Parts: sequence; C-alpha cells; structure tokens
Amino acid sequence: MNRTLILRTGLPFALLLLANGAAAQDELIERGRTVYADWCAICHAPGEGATRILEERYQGALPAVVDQRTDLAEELIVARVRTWVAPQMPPFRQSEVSDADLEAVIAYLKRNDE
Amino acid sequence: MPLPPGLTESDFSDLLAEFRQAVGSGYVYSSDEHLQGYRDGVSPLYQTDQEPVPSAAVAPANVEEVQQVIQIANRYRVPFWVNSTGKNFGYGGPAGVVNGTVNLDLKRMNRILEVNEANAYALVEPGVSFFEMYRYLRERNIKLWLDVPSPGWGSIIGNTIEYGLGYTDQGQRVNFLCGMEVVLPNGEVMRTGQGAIPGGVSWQHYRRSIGPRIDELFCQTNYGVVTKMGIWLRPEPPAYLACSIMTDRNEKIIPLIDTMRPLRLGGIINNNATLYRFPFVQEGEENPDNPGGWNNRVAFYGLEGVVKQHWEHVQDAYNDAMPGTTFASNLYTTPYDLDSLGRSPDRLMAGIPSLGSSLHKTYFSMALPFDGQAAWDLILLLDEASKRHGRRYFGMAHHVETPHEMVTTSSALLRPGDDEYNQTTMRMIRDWIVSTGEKGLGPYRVSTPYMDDAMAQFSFNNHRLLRFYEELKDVIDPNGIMAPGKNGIWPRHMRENRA
Repeated sequence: MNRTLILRTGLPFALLLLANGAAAQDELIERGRTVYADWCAICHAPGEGATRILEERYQGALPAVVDQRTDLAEELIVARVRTWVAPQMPPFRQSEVSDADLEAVIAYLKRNDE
Repeated sequence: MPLPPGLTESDFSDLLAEFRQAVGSGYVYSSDEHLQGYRDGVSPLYQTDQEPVPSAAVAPANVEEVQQVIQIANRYRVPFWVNSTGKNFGYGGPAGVVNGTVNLDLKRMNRILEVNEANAYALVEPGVSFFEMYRYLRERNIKLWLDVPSPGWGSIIGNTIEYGLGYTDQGQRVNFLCGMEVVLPNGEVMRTGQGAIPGGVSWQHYRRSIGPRIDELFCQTNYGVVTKMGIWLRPEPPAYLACSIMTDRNEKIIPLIDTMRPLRLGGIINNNATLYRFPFVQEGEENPDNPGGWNNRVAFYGLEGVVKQHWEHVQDAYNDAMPGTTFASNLYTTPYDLDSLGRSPDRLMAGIPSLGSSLHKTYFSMALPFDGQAAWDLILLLDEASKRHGRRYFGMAHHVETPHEMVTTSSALLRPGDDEYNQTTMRMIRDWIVSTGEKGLGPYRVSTPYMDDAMAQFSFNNHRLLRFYEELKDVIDPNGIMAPGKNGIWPRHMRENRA
C-alpha cells in the first residue's frame, strides 16, 4: 500500500483500497477454484488416481487431497505444474494453464494457509 | 533447446519473430521452462541424448493462424509436429520424432462449435477434450452420450484420428467421425465430404462427397492439420446394462473369445467389449497360485426388457460353453444419475471420462483376427519375448472393436532415469514387433520410438504400401515439413533418417 496516497486521501479511501484488495484476492481465489476444478481435480479429487497414490505415500500424515493442504509453497506448486514429476504427473503447458491461471491456482491452494 | 534442422541462430530468431507476428507474442514458446510440457516424459528416450526435443512451440487460436504458421514454416523449411492436447502418453505424448521440430500446439482451439441433439452429432475443434465435451453436455442437460477413451484428458479429434478406442457401441470411434476441415501442409484449407460444398448442410450427416472418402488420409499420418471434425454421438438409451463375465484361468481366453464371436457378429453384443486380466498383475508381484483369469466387460443399451433379455441369452451361451463362468451386472435406467457411478468401471461404457491409467508405460498395440486361438498364440509369443529380455509386460487388454477383429494393447514399464532398464524395454518391444510381424500380425498403434519398426512390417512387394504413402507425402507436402517420421512416413529429404 502506498503510504503517501493514504496520507493525501485520508483513511476512508485507504479502507476502500484495502477492501478492494481483499475483493480482488477473493476473486482470484474463486478463479483458482475453477481452474483447479477444470484441470487438477480430475486426478486430485477425493478417490481419484493421484489422491490414492498420495494416500498411500502419506499414510495419513498429510491430507492426500491437494486442495486440503495448508503447507504448499508457491515454488512447489509452480514446479509441479510446469515440470515433469516422474513417474506420474505431466507438466501443463501455457496453452492449457496460463501464468494467470497458475497465479489463481496458487491463491486458491494457499487460501487457508496459516 | 536445439535449433530446428538446417537453421542458424539468426534464422531461428527471425522464425520466432514471424510466429509472434502471426499468433501474438504470448503464444510462442522457446525457453527450456516453457518447452517442458512439449517433451515426452513417458518416453524411454526421455533425458537421454537420443530424446527428440522441440526447438519451440507455437499455439494458434484459429484456423487462419494455423495457416499463417504453416506458411511461415514452409518459407523456413522448418519441420513441425502437431499436438491437439498433448496427452497421448505411452504413444509419444506431445513430442515428435525429429530433434528440433517446432511443436504446433492446438489446445487454444477449444471451441465446441455445434451440438445437434436431434441429429446426435457435434462439431469440434482439436483442443476440445473428452472432459470438456462431457461437461458441456451435462451442464446443458443434452441427452447425448459420448464415447471416451480411458484417459479423458485427450482431444476428441486427436484421439479419434489416432484410432483411439472407447468402450461403448461407438467404441471404434473413427467410424463415427463425419466431416473434417484440414489445413494442408501448403497452408490451404480443405473441407471433406459434404463440407466441400459452400454452405454444405449435410457436412455432419453424410460422410462422403462424390468420389472417395478421404478422412482417413489424415488419420495416423502427416498429410494435414485437422482443425474441425464432426463426430456422431449416441442418444441417451432408456436403459444401460453394464456386465462382467469372469473366468478363473488364463487359458480360458480361448473359449471366452470364441463364445463371444457369434454374439458380436449377430448383434447381441454391440459395444467395444473389452477383455482384460483380472486381477492386474504388476511387475514383481506375480503369484503362481493365482495367475488371474479374464474378465470380459460387456454393455447393452436400449429398452430395459430387451437389454435384460440379451444379457440372459449371453449368460446362457457362456454357461453352455464354459460351465463355472461367473457373471455380474448393474442396470441403470432413465433418469440417469451418472454421478452415482463414482469410480465404477461401469462409467467408461457409459461414456463418462476419467483418469487413472498410470503413466510411465510404453505401449505396443496389435490388430488381431477375432479368434481365441489367435489371442492365446499372441500371449505365448509376447510371454516368450519378455522372458528373453527379462522384462514383464502387463496391462494387456483385448478390445473387440468390431464383430470381425480385436486390437490388443500391451504395455511395458519404464523407470525414470534408468537408461539401461529402458533400453532393454525398447529392445523387447522391437522384438515383439518383429516376432509378431513374422507371424503375419501387424501393430495397430505404437509409440514414436518404434514407428519405423512398425511400418517395416508392412513390407509386401518391397514395401509398396509405404512407398505409396511417401509418394502421396511428396505431393501433398513438397517441402516435407509436417511431422516427419510419423508412423514411418518420411519426406524425401529425410528418408536417410529412417531407423
């Protein structure tokens, strides 16, 4: 937030900006939820292939459904989406999941981070 | 990443600038990071010095941009490989055969142009996946069913023109395509069938024009980029009965197939009935006490009374031929709650897409007569070859596409980063291709590293068929730029590359 702008325009406008920022973040998360449903959930929804693999790997130590995680680093999400994860997960190209889509997915997956 | 064959750094830079001009700067990719998704991480060649790596990728949004990209590629004599959604894993994924090929990525062309519920067809672009079409139909409560392959993230066009199979009564899906729009390798647009008439109203109804039907010239070949395709769908049936016919012994595949043949020929069984080993046996987990039997998945679609009667007849036929066979079935009727099928295997025969096939297998698939002994002989032949190479193969399934033939899909495991293991797997698959060819059997579909080996089996009269394909190639694609090496078809100036 630009401090000079707050001083010049007064608190109400600053609160409005904050509210707009929160609304924009909510919008980004919702967009990320849609991208996740379209691209990720086919394998990462409860009961689907990747979830079953992760259930076996984590043995309850971590949630196997990816969008229930609260500890995913942004770098890890980007790496998983953009590079091959042998032997199971192919990368997704820009023509499929654009950088803007990826930013939204990151916001969605980190929405509940502590 | 490599340069395209024959281009200098400066030429390549000019080429990318022209591509950017054609499709927009955001849709031309040449960095290592952006090109990861255009490599085949499921190839036995992945990350070896033999891996064909793309030099760049370009993603047009419409047919005019495809034309421009191809015209540019012609000017620079740059080879390009086409992918629709790039999910053809096990058969090559999005990657080409030649190192430095430019990848033409059609995913942005993802419009469902028309769905005609009354006449049960759709007209789609190549970027439309089975998942996307399924969602489109369900969200609009359109009462049409779609035939889908087992991994549903692939392209309807891409999978169909690679002769991909589904599991419904439209399982040999290529026979349900109706009308194409194709950008030829010189950049011209052509429409097939009734689409060749300006404003042709029967394009998705009648499959021919006057003269030969040529749609299959664009299947498993490198003669043109399919930018639109009509596909016939099936009306939601009043009842759907999903059935399993289960045996307990490997050898019972012979009577299982021979009992099914007259039922399939006679129109009692109409779907792409699939036979697979159950339980699946993974490498290193073989149990000699329980080698597994064969499970035959069959579906009936129609009036409830009729599908039940057909199923009773089928059970009687199997009980007569194979006492001790066990059966299971699930009946679904309108109004359907398709979501209730969950992860049930019944969903594939209802055309509900899913994922679940594990990656890191390389596939080898054969065409066979509809004959139990032929299937058994093939099992013995593949078993013998796998023992010679010390590699277990698995996942073998027989798909009864039509009343007259079956195709089998076999796969072998790869180990990421283990070049010696993967090289042995490749040698085994090449051995399979040659051994089956010597028995008069040919592949139906293979992965990119084996395309020359597969085509070499079709050698009657000094490879006359391949020479015919390449004579066509030289006429249709005189600069030899489209998908060189696809299924063993090479342009004149690259034929020395043939493996």
